[in-house]
Amino acid sequence: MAEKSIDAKGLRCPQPVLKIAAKLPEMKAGDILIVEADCPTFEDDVRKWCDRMKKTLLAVNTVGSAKTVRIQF
Amino acid sequence: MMRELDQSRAALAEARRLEEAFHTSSMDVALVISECFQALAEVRQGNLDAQVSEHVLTSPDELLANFGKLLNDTIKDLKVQMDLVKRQALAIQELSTPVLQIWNDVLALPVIGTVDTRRAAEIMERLLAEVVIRKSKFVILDITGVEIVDTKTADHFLKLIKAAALLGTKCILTGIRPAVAQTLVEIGVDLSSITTLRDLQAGLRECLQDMQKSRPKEPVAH
Repeated sequence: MAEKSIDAKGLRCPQPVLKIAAKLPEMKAGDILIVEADCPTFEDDVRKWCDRMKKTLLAVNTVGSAKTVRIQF
Repeated sequence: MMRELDQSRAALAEARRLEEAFHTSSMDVALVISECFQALAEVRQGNLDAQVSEHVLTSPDELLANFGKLLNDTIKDLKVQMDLVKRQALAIQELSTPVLQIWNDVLALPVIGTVDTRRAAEIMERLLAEVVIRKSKFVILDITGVEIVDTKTADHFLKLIKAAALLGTKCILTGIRPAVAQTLVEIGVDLSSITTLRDLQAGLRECLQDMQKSRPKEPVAH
């Protein structure tokens, strides 16, 4: 089970979600993707994305204006 | 003036609606792209057949056809929406700081929305220029359309009023909402040095009374 990360700080919606999408081909079942972003709609977008793509949103941490999410594939 | 206020509010509401629509459309595109990548990943992992029935997409060809159509439609919609947003933004810019002459020597400045440093500077520049051009003795700063006033915003208003006073203009603040008044008291903003009144009408009445007082009295005939 590998852990990968994306720094999407400074990107506006839907770019952080597209970055997550671009990682899809290299992620295997059970892998964890950690994404950090500061777009105001990021958390909602990731929740929507996980729901649609049937992935598990393990955690959302907020530090200042940035949010870090952990997604299990 | 009420018509301009209504126009401004409508323009702001429309801009917010378009922003939300833009966000929803772009997220839809992102989700479709994600599904494409998901399908690619499944093809690469060799388990597309087993997974395909769980998705709306029935084959890679159909997926690409759907994707292409949706992307083209969305791009067209976005173009239309962005053009509208640009036009609305221009309208908002023009309507956001209208300085209106509502009586001889009386200017009214209805402020709508949030007042940040940049906007405060714009308002001050515009108002002071109008005061000089029209030689106005009174300015009514109406903040009925301002929903949030914090210490910074209050400071911007105080500076504006002081700057107008330096030009020999009396500035009256009107339209403080109950919630705003409560906040101002809670955060300890001191507005005692300026005249504050309930609404624009009361502000105009105050100006007219002041004008009456300052008029030279006519000699009484004996």
